[in-house]
Amino acid sequence: MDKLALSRSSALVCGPALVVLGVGGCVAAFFGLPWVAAALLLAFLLALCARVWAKLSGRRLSLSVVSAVDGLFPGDTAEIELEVRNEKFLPVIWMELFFPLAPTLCLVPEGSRKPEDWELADLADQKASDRLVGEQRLSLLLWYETTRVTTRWIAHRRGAYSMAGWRLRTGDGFGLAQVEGPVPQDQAQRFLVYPARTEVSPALFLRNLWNADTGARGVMEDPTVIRSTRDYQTTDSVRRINWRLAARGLPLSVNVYEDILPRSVHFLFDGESFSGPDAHPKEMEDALSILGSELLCLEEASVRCGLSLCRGSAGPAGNLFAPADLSALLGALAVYEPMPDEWDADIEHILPQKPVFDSAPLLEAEHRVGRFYYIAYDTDCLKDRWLLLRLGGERTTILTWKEPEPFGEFEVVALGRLRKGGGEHG
Amino acid sequence: MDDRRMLPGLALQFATACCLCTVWNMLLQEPGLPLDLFPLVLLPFAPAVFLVNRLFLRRQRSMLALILLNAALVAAVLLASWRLDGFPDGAGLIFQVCFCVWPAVSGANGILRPVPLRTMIVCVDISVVLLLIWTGYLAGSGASPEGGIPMAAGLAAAVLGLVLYRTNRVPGLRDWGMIGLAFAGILAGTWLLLTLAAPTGMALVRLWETLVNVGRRLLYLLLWLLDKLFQVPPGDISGDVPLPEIPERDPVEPGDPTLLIVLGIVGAIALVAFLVWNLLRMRVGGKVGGKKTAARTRRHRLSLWEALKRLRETVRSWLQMRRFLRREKNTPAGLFYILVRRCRLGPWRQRPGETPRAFLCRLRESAAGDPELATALETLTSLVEEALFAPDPPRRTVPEATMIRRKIRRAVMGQFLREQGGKLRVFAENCAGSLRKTKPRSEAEGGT
Repeated sequence: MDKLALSRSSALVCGPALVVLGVGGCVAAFFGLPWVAAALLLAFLLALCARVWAKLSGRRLSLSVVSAVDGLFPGDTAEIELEVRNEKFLPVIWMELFFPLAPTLCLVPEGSRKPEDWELADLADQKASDRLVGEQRLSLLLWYETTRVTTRWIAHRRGAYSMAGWRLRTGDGFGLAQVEGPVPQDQAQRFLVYPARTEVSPALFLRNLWNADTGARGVMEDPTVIRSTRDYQTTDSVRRINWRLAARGLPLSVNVYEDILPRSVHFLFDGESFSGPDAHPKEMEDALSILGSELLCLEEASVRCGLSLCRGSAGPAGNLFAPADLSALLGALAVYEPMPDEWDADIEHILPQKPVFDSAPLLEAEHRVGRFYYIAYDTDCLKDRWLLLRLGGERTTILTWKEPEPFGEFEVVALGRLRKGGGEHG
Repeated sequence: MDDRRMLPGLALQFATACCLCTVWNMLLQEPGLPLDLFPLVLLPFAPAVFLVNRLFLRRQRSMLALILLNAALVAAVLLASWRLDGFPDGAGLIFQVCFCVWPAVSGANGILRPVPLRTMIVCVDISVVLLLIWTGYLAGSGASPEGGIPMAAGLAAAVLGLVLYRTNRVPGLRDWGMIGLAFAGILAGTWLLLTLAAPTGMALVRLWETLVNVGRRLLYLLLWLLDKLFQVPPGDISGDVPLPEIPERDPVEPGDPTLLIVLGIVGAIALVAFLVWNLLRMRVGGKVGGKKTAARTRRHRLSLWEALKRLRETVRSWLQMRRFLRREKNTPAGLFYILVRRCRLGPWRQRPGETPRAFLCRLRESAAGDPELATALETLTSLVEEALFAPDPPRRTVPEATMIRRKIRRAVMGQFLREQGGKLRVFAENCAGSLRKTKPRSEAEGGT
């Protein structure tokens, strides 16, 4: 951390000013102007001392995150504990942490402020928000002192926020010079804000699973694998009686079969259908919110869920086949953004883009998936979705944000109907 | 307004008043006469107007009320100064009104919105520049240097305000101790420098005179060459070109001004009414927003004695390292550590997790243009591995150690100079770009 931030420092500490003051002081002394020389040399030494002090203050300062929450839902408040170490003898008189925020303002610290004019250029370079910035001021850090600061952050909307742009600022005791440095890239953490929770019903998905809408929680028995036997009771089905044992003259007993897990539910999110010439960002957020909430409900119902996202501006296409941790699915939803608009200069129009899924692993795992759910804005844009047509209507349901219209042999359901007591959008 | 912002605002007000006082003395004070009282009145007036505004805006008020309050304060201070100093002439009156309105406006503004850092920094810079100019003026006119006391106090207030702004709190005893120590060191340094400055100044003046002479000779040479090349007649460059005659304009016949006057009066009344209506509606002051939650901090501090012991350990280990490197500078292990240390600030620094072999191989690849150095580094690689990792390594020396150290030092220095040159180039290009009003290039684009 040795970069002198000239925009936040006095003009006196820059090189040319130091030279002018020093040379001017010497020349004034030579021409017998002691007071002028004294004033010039005082200013020279003050500026020089400030510059050196600021440089030394910035050395051996480190910042790390001690504890933080990886994922949040909009409206949640998180406490992030930071540790600042001064690993030198020279105390640090003042220090501040500067937090550029994500353009979507997904996660905002308490006490954030509007950026000042001179900060806007840097924020634009970092692709950070120009509406708000966060700042945390720390008081005196003594020799070899370690300070832990707990800051409160509020999750506002879906998105990912990285601390890669955080800056540590400090300077001399007179406040004339400031140095700043970034947080080391290897220590930069990422915080995710999942899609907003909403009240949804998982009935549609449980209906399609074996026994899932009853008390068996989607678990079914495999009649080919006998786990054990037990004594026959009058309520038992005759089919379960173990006739081999009965033929040996043993008392009647029934087979207990091994439980097997049901096949999972797999969602395909076609983000490009919400993008393009007629973009529907709010509707996409709504769809993601419903999808995230369904994932939570299905997790509670012990139904395994998978997710495929098409290629977006945040990363390539990816498939998550029923991961053990639900946060992986929610995290993928948190960072997803559609591809940037493609502008056709000839027709002066934004071109609609087709979704690019990582289809090979998806088709390989086809037999392991109970049912696919393809989520899109409406059915009009689905005519050229070859992956959807390849999966076929027998095992795929289309969920659209708009009121559904018949689409081939596919079952089409409105996303709004998944809401509890719903059927209406918004 | 945040209480922590009050002290920097107060200091800024006082520094502003000191600057205005100095500007008044520079512009309107005649040398040799006693100082006017009016600029000195500004020194208590500026902080007072800030405090009065702060008290007034504890509750929500209309903008008109705020303006009336400040106008009353300005009027009061003007009347007081006229009573003491007498009624000024035309220019003096305008300056007095402006110099009273300025602190009032900045005081009210400082309460309404937090003072930006840039303003505090600019205030310090202007204070320094004014102090220097005023000291030079006093020295030139032979006046007493005591006239510079208000500006010196203003500079002190500006620096104090900046300190308070940066620390965002009232500094404690430790802070003041350290800042005071640094300032005492600066004063002592100034006193020491003053004894050395005169001979240095003489050398600088000689250097300047030499440069001026050289420049003058070059200019003569250039003019002589131009004269020889173009043979310009001397009359043409004398500048005695007759000016073209400007035709006299016909006088404009004045029309009937009554309608215009009536329209102007009506417009002015409407404008004033509109302004008053808006100022009454605009609400300022009061407590805005909820209570801010302070961040929780937990500290782990060492006592001074413990810190000194740790510092002693650090210094001792550093000295031991230096001694080791000096003693072992010709052995493979010692030379390796010297290379790692020497390259730590350049692009060839050892990366985290990089093995000694990988580091030396990278150095060798960089030195491909120098076969002698590359061969020496190749030999060194195996020797270093043996010295560092063999169970019982024999004690060897590297015959080319001096050459390797010298060439690597030169390469690192050259890289440093190239980097600095690149920075200067980028700076110059940015300056030129800003002059051409084009977008300046960032340092990364023009990096080395």
